[in-house]
Amino acid sequence: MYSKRRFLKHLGCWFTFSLFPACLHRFAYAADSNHVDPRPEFAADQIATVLESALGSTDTADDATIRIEVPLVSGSKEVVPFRITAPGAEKIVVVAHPNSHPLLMLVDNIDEPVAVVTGRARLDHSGDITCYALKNGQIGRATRRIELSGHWESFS
Amino acid sequence: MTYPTSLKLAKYQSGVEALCEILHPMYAGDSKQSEVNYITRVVFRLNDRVKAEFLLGKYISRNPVVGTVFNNVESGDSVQVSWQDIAGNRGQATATVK
Repeated sequence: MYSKRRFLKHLGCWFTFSLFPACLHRFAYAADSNHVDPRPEFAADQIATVLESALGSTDTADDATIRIEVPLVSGSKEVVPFRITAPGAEKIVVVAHPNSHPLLMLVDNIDEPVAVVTGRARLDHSGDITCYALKNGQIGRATRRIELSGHWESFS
Repeated sequence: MTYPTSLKLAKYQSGVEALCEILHPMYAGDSKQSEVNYITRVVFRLNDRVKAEFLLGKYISRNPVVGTVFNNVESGDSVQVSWQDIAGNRGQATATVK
């Protein structure tokens, strides 16, 4: 006789053994979400730390020659295209203020009189993208704001 | 594991823009996926001379497109791009200026 008690016991066992691997998977997620980039400039969560690691200084000034081309409004936070033009730059650092680890891209060994770099970024929220360019020992800076649409920021 | 890499050249003002597209998942290890694997380095060369070295973080979108502009190029010049991800996978592509 397949009693109600036995049925509930089997149901409990079935739930336990089916949910246990899912719980383990969840713990694995938690372990991997703490991944830290081995490079200090990419692991930094403060822009000052990024600049200190990447460019050796935090002393920056506005530079009108640096041009950042980004969309004013991006429909997706997963793909935000950008193009940066920095005449005479030897090194370029691109940071996204909204991200928990702000450094997006570091361009080094630039061997062109006018540096033009292109990329696609992921952003956590709406916010500023700033380009720092090292030229002749000075660090120039330019910033553009990007508004994200098409997603609910409170759920991101 | 191999990821397809393409290199396209297009005229940009007085020079040539090289756009490299890599079909790479760029797993950042956040709450959405457990795996961590993203491209860390992309190097552009013109006739075997390094022209720009991109160091990338995990906030670059998947299937990344990175590019740079070469100002002084001539027909027949060779553009090479090579990349490496955090798992040690590598890839490269070559194109010739027409």
